[in-house]
Amino acid sequence: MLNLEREEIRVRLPVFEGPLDLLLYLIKKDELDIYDIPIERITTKYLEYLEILKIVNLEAAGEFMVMAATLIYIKSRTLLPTDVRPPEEDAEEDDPRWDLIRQLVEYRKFKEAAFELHLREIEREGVFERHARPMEFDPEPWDAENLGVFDLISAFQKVLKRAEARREDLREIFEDRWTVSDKIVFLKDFFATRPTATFSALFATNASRSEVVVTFLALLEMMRLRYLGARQNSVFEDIEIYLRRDEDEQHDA
Amino acid sequence: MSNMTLKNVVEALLIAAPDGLTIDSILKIFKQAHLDEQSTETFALENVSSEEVLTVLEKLSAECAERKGGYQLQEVAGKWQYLTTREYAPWVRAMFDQPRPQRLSPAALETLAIIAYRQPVSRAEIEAVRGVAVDAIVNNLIERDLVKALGRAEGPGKPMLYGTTELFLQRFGLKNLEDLPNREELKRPSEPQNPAPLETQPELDTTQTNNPNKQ
Repeated sequence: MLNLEREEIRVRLPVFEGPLDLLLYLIKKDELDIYDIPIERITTKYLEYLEILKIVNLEAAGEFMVMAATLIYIKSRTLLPTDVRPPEEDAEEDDPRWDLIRQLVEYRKFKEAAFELHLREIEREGVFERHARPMEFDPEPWDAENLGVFDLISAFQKVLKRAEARREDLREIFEDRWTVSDKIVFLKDFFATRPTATFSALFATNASRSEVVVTFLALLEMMRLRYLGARQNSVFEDIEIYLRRDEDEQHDA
Repeated sequence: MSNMTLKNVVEALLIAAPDGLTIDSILKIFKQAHLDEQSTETFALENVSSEEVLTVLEKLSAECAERKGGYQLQEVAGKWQYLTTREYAPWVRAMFDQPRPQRLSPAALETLAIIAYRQPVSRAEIEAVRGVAVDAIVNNLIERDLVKALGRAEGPGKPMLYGTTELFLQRFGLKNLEDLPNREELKRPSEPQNPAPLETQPELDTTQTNNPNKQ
């Protein structure tokens, strides 16, 4: 009904949604009155199309065959004079076409409704809903995973500055001889007595710049070995270093 | 409280709502806000009526329409929500990186229309209107969550009866089933049959339980 207006109908035959659809098309094409269908003419036309349909698509033809039988039956009844027609069950009207006409009219209404829905579907698919969500304020502390190496480095720089400041008072300078492994031992001892410490606390006893650097390297190494973890409870707070308890055994062994 | 403020509060709610809002949920929010805040402002809105909210919603919707901007306020499936306007679909779709959704075939639309207007309706009734078998199409519509089984009819054979879902209303931008175009003309001429609730249906009909739907 929608795009079958032209004569290229033959190639478009499978578009018919069923026998009623085909009948409606035939009625519309020949501008017939749906309430007064010339049954002989429509039956002939219908059978012609059925022939084509059989060639195109045998499987779909079943339902179309049933309608063909109905049409021929109606046609044969209309040919008989009223008084010799065998009585039909449930026949409300004298006109044998009536059931078919009612069915066609109803089907046409729903076909129009379907088109109406189609328009709405197109309308609706171009319309988008809002997807608002409240801003997430994370109740969980920032975890080691979230804490980048740059966070550690900037914390380290603060400690370094503090170490520099501490050296303002003049005193004798001597060469430090700290190694990373010394400091690893120191950190292990340090965390033996407490589970957590602030980042700066680790450097509290460090006297020189080189000692601070070595301690920091030791810390990075122990984090790499997953012996220690780092976390930050909020963005600007001091970084907290903690003992990774789940790893205790494999490192202490 | 002046209408001005009620309108602004409703507008704020709609802008922040992740989904649309029903009038009922707006009324509930007003009650909850007063429980939480206990201020003169929340008190003033605590007992606003649904009619007042509807008036404000319609006003907001009209303002949007008058503005002819990039969004509109619509009621879809009972929920009021801000939606983009259709003209700007190409850009919004590109932002979501989504292909154009699959449209329903004419056969599926016809079947869906019959179900929508005639629900609750059996497969046999749908077939009677369309003149073709509809099993595959009905199954497909159920799979797409546009159609659902409502229960069984009480007549012979107790056929399953079908109706449309909330997604159907959303997908076609309908407020409710009364909002279907030409509803009066297309609705069932006789009284619809009441489906028996699915839960109370025994597999084999051994007990005829008292059905609340029975007339």
